[in-house]
Amino acid sequence: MSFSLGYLVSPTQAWYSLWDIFVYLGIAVGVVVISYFVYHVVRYRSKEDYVPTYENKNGSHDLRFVLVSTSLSIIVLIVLSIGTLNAASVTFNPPQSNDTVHIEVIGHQFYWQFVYPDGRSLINNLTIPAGAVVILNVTSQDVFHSFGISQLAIKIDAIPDRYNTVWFTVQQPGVYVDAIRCFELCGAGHAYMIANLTVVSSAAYQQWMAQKVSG
Amino acid sequence: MQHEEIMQVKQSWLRRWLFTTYHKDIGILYFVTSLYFAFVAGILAALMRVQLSSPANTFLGATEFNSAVTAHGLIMILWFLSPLGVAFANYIVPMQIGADDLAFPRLNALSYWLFLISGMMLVISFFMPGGGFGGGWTTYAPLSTSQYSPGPGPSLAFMGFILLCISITVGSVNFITTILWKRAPGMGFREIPMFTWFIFFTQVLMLMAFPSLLAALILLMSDRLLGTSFFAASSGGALLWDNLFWFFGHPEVYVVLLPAFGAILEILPTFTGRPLAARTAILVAAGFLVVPLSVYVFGHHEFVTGIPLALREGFTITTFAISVPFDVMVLSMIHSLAGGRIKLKTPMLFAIAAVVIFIIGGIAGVFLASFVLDINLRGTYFVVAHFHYVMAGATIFGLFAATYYWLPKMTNHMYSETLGKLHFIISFISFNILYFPMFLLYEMPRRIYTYQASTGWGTLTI
Repeated sequence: MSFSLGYLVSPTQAWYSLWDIFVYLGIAVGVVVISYFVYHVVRYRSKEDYVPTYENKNGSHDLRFVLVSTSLSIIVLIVLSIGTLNAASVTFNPPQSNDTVHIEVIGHQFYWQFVYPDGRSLINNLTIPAGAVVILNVTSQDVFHSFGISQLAIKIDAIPDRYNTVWFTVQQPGVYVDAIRCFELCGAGHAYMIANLTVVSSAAYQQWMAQKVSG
Repeated sequence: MQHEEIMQVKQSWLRRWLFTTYHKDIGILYFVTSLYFAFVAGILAALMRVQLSSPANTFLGATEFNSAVTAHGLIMILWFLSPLGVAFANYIVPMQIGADDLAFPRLNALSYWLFLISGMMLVISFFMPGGGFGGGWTTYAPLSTSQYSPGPGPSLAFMGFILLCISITVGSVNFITTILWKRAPGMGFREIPMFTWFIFFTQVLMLMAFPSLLAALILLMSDRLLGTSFFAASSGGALLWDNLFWFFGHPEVYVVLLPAFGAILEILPTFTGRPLAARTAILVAAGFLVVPLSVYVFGHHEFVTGIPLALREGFTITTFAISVPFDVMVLSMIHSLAGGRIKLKTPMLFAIAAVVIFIIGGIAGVFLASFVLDINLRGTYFVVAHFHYVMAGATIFGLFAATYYWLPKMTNHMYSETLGKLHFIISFISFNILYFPMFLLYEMPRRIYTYQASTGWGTLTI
């Protein structure tokens, strides 16, 4: 059940695979339990005048039923735990790579600042090369923000005076408009902390980095 | 004073209600006051829904919306749901255990008046110069410090919050003492009814959780008024608040839920004509698993804050683990229907709906418990859907069930069964229409006052 089979698997794929497991199991458990419930309500409806007819013959049934239901619950949770740990092995372990890009992300009230290794800064636009491993070091200049790219299943809190790290990779070039948002209420401008994710080809990225900029 | 004695002594209506220490009167005071607060917070919710009903709407500005969402959360959780449970606890628990009142009747009155005054302080804080607090009910630092939320409004709100902590701490001492020491002779632990047991668990949780919040609020007020820097960013203040708050915040949600569960466990046997299944298992699950575990799961609110990986794994395990006693309780509730003769009266309808809604909300909770899956769900409407299912759904429906069940006894008037069923149908259908789509909105951030049309969120945000 390991994800890293020699090709680059990203946190994005790991998350969506895990999501599928949870959704299938979650819907299955929900449907089974609620049907079981509705079945009991319908089957044991009182049809005439209210007369209690229950006789407590099977007290021991209760204990057996508790043990069975607890075991079933634990089995489902073990499956979910294994899935979680597998996904975690990808999400928190950026692969070693020659073209890893390190970018510092600073949350402000109310915009995102992206600082590149050569010191240049982009506001509300994260530009990365396609196919490369991107490692973000995220912090905040003022209050608690949360940096998230929902389409890629990336999220990490931007906490002042602290750096949190997250990695991801995108294969397909393009401009992902409004892909980056703030996910922690940070004040009046919280709804506007939106940034674009621009993925360019490796060559274009090298070219762009080679140009001298005034920051 | 016994109720009969009160009614024989001619006193003005005002004197009675201002100075009562009688548990049934205080129960009624809590009941009426919590419904008033529900109405206030409900209006705020309606305003937010109007604002979000279309993209780029200008019905509410950003600051107004942020204040509304903050007040809505605080009032609903702390001044409505929990006190409504306390209302029934006040009225019903002494009767169930054969006590003539709580252990400390005057402290009980104090709890009520502190609850009312603290709520008024919170409401008034929004009318102070500079407005109230607009950083969410979770009042994260450093946004809550005077650097980022200056002015008397937030300070007044936090002071009100502190008074509520005092109200609740005093009340929990009162209830725990009453249930342990004021039971009638012959009422051993095995004979204590389910509702009283669940109130006992709730009060124990309150006593464990609220001191952390009280400490955090006192430190915050010290920062705001005395210039200390407990929550300044440079001293790790942001995460300090996060930890102190959620150590309280997680047990708090079980404080909100358990009275409703206790009421449901009273209602089910009455309307099925058979005893509860696995009664001991339910009590063991709630008292020995949920109560202790609830203080060990709070880190699941901090999965993306950068806490160590080992801690994240640990909190996932404990949070998964706490779902097991709830499985036991829900399945026992279902089993308690078998062999019965079910009468679908209004209390029973609300109780059944509460359990169904809890199943859905609880499954969503298991999603959020995974420290990896939480990554793309944190801070989004998926979380909003989850907690509205378990709080607005399971808890409110459970407390509505309790209201239909116990209010006739409290007022000597019977409700109309037709209107009750109508209330039920409308509530159940509209609840699911409002909240279920939010599970699909896991790309939409929480607490944003507006969004662009290009997101396509307009259709699901009704």
